Amino acid sequence: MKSKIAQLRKQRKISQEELALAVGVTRQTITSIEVGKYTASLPLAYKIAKYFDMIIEDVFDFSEYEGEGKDGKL
Amino acid sequence: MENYKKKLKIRIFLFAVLVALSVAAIVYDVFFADAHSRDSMMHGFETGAAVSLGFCGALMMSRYISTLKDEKKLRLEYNRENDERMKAIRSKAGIPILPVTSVLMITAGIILGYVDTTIFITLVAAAIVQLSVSLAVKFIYIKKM
Repeated sequence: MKSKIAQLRKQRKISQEELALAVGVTRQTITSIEVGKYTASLPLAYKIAKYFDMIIEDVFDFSEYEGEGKDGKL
Repeated sequence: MENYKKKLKIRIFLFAVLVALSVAAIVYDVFFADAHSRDSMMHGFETGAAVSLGFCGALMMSRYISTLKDEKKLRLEYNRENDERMKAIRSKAGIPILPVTSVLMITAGIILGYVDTTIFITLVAAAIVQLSVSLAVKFIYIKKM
């Protein structure tokens, strides 16, 4: 899943380690989320979004799931 | 974080017990074991296992003691242990079930080794293969995830 974490970090001049420390994960996990190798759990996505004072949808790109789940379609 | 500090203190105590037991086993093996058993392969394995367990226990103790003294290190260690990605990787690699069964197999191997050396070699070899597979799977998923 794509995310804007790297972009938001650069804008606010926050290191991966600072973000990792604040949301309770390792720096490697932040790297994996940024490059799209790992999809964060809902609680972690919430913590990251809250750290940037944003909502989850503004930090993570859900476009690949658009339309799924509507009218029982998956 | 206070609960985690208590957890670390308990771990330090348990590692201290492990180190003490290892030292006791080494002292017994070196000074009190009879000459006949000293020549056996089992005796050599037991002594080697006691030395390595004692060494690992001492290393872990010093690591946890230094972690307890530094708040940043403590936070990093807590995050490392509770990191959701690492938890997922560990569960895919069969941790902690595989290491626990491997230790049980090695222990059973040592006990049964006094009856038949072939059982000892088979169990230890199986435990080593099991641990190697677990480690390989862990590294593969660290790269993948």
